[in-house]
Amino acid sequence: MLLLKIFFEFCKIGIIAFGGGNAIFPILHREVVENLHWIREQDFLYMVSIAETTPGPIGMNLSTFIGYRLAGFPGALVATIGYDFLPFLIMLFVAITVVRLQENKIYRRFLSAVMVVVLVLLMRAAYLMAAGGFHDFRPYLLSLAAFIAFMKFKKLNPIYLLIATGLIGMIIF
Amino acid sequence: MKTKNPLKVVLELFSVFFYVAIFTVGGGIAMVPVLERVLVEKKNLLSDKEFTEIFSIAQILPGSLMINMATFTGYKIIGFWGAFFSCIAITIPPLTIITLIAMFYGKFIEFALVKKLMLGILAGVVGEVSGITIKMFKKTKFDTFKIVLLLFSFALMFVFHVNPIYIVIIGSVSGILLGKGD
Repeated sequence: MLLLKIFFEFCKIGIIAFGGGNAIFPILHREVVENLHWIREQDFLYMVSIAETTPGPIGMNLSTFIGYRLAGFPGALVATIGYDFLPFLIMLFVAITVVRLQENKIYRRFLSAVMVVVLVLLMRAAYLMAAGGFHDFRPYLLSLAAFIAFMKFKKLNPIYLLIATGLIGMIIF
Repeated sequence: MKTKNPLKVVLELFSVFFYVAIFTVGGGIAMVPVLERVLVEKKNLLSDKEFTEIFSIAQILPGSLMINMATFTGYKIIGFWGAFFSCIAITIPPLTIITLIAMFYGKFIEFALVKKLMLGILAGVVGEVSGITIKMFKKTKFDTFKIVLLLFSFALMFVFHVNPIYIVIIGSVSGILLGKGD
């Protein structure tokens, strides 16, 4: 039952994938390349490069890709669902709990402190994206322009802004 | 906003998360500015405070930020089915795109133009994430405790390169013990 094995393996990976994004690479590598020998080293690196440059969360993209390689579309489907399954249940449980805690003093204190830490996490996310993907000054300039447009035009759907920067990128990069 | 037809709200959530997923480049964080504008400012489905709460909690739990945000947002707005269909919606686009790429075995990504497009979108995402950071920064009511926590977390993250999860733990424990909770 390869499909079942894929499902449980990705359930496991989904739950230990903490911190999202790039934190997933070493974990996936250890599991699917070193322990299970499902994917060869150079294929893994290739998949990472694709997962990084296509839409969607990187971990989910990699799960889909590896699942497809192992068992075609059914493999892709069970790997993706497996990867999302436990985080979905945990988040749902937390959401159900937390909507009942709105007036709770301890929860309010916890939340207001976490919100401050999250500001730093956001800065880190922007920094990591720029440091990892920008190789000269041009993307920084484009980011600055997007930042100004985002702040100035409050009614603008950010998606259109992303389409615009994407098209500009095709011209200037 | 509570009087809306539930089915309509679920469909609305589905469509929002579906098209947001198409433009999520560089990881789940890219969806945050888009969701904020659409759910809070355009559709009034969430308040500013609720959105920040959802984002903060989603960020510190395991799993991808996208799944967590879709689940929490969907649940908060309309309950279980909102959570369920929001998750389905954000899963379909990446699943389809990666499957297609895997089928054609990467012929697509070799196109230099696609890489440029993606880099352009990524640059836009960095700009928008910076914007949303400043917006959340402005909305925060800073007291002495929060200023100290902000500087301390910043130093741990960027100077000492501490794993973010420990910074979250330190922050939440000190918040429960010392914070005012507003």
